[in-house]
Amino acid sequence: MLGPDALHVDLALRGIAKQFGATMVLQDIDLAIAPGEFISLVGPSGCGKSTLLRVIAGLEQPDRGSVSLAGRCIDEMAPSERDVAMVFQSYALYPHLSVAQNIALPLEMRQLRWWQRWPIARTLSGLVSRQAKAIRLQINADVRALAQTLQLDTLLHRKPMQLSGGQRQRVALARAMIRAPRVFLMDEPLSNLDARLRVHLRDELVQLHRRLRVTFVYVTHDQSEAMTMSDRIAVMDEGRILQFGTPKQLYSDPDNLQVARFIGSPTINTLCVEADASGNWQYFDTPLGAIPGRQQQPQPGERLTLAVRPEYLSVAVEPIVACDRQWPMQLHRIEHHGADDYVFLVDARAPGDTALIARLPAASSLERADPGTAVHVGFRWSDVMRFDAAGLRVREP
Amino acid sequence: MNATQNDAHCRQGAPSVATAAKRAGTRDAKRTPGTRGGLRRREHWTGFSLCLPAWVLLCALYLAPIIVLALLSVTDYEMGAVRWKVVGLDNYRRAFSDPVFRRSLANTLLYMVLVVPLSVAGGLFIALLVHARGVSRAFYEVIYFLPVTATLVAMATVWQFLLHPTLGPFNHLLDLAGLGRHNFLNQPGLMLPTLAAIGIWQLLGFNMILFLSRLSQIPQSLYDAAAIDGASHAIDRFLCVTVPLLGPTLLFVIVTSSITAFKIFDTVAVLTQGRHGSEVLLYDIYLEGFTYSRTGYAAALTVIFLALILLLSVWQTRQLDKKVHYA
Repeated sequence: MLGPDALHVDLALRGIAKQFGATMVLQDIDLAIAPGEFISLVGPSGCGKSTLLRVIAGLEQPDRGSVSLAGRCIDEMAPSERDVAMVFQSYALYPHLSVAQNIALPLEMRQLRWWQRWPIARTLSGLVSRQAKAIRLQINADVRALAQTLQLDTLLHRKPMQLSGGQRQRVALARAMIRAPRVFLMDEPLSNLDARLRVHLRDELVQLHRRLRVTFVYVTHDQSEAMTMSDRIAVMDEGRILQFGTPKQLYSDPDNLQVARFIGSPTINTLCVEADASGNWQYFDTPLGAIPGRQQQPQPGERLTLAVRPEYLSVAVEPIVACDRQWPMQLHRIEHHGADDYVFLVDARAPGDTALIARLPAASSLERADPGTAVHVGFRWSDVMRFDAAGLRVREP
Repeated sequence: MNATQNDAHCRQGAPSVATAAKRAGTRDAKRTPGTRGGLRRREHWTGFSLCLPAWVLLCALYLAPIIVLALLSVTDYEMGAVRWKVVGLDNYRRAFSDPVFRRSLANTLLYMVLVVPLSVAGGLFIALLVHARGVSRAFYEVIYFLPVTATLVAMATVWQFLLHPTLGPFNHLLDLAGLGRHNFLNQPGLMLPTLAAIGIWQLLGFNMILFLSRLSQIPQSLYDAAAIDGASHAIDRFLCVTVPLLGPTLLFVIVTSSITAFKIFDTVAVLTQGRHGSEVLLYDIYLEGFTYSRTGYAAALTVIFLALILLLSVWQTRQLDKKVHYA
């Protein structure tokens, strides 16, 4: 999944901290990104992911820490000098310029002098300076070529107002791509689109990344977007990176409960268990016995959170054979998702809220069960992750 | 600006009324075949009679006065006169050979040339400064908007005091600086620039508020995008984002400032009484119509005045409309 350059670092953040008023938006962020990697920053809104992206772009100055790109410190550079391009959630297209002019702007700003850029000067300098004219022709050719690859060639003369959301997003991408930057920064570029288009453009972005082989830093609040597209994901909360790893690591081996809860849909099941006076774990009044492999005898009153992914819960009307622990629950309702059914379970002892969700293959024996049916729910210890009271993963054998 | 919005509104409104009428028509036609033509005619008259009150008012309040004005302008009618006759275009011929009228026209245009660019550019500049303020923004908005809310006639007395040749602090300062005392409201060469300065002072706040309301609608992400795309200097970003997006407001401000400047009257009436060197169109019309009671002649001047304003506005709108992007 990682390219051959994975050992090198392309974009490095060291000790980035940023404060807005009294709130710490970023707290000592360290991140090392390999060249050509597709990185996602995910987290709930307000976790600092967009601010971090803006720090990389140079639109925001961090209070502390430094950013380096290709081994060079870029802290002192203006956004335009950093060799990064950015795609915004609102696309940020210039409404008064046509699609072609929007795409050409980054090149014009760089290659033409200010007096060669303005409309009147445009015609004049074309007459006076052959060089300006040649540059302009080259830019036009570049724009047309890029527009063709992004299927924008029929829209070049339209204004952004006349485009659909998906088309605008493509224009924004083209504007970012035109000067072949070293790093692409994307701030929730798909969140303003409808669900179908989002899935389609997700695929287009992955293809694009594969073709360009440059570094992508992608900000999203949608974990499924991050999971499906990224090489590695940094899960953020309250200005910190909770965990940075591959989608697979985050899903099956999260470092803490927040990551476990944030990644995966439906959300991971959590069971709060407490040790009784004799040192046995209890889930409500279901005795769970000792946790296998755990050497330490629990203190009475000690609490743990057990977490099980929905697909590892077994549910059946009859007692379950292939599981380590089981207990009775009530069927609340079943959601049909085609290949899978999501089974929502409530505990008869704490009715009202959905306690657990199990994900079963469709056509299970429960398919036609009525709400309120008494069922057995069970898990295997090998599928259970443990977290301490602070939400940190307990990995001791 | 308002007119174009109304137009757009009408254009949107019209088809829906038409389709509603058509729908009603087909429904009725199904029920009673054969009377469709009659129904349509009846609807036609209903619509017409519903419009009638508005039309009557429009004619009585807007069109009739202008027609009366145009008719008066071809007569030698004087206020209260018993006998009068039609003189054709004599009043107009007289106007263009009248040195006072010609001076008023030239002075009014000069006043406009001084006031419009400075009040528009100044208003934009102040708007940019005020926009960048945080908490103190409201304070500055009020300060600059004060002259707009204050009556110019009342404020003119303050100016008269400030600029007074012997009592005024302004002349005192000039004197201290060794520049000598000047009678700003009496010296022919100084009167018009002084009036223009007061005119700019009064317009700045109004223009600033208009610019401010638009400035706060420009999304920050556009400035961010421009910064990344290579507009590294603030002036680059101003030309790349602010000016194009201010387009419609800029057009509106230029047209309204021009009309306001063209209509200069109150400062002239209060401060200089149209002394030589400060004659302006509206004051000339006022003198002819009300002081000398030459109603016919004043009507002709008014027609010229209205025609000029109309021409000016249409020309400006046409010229600038081509360069403006409406978002």
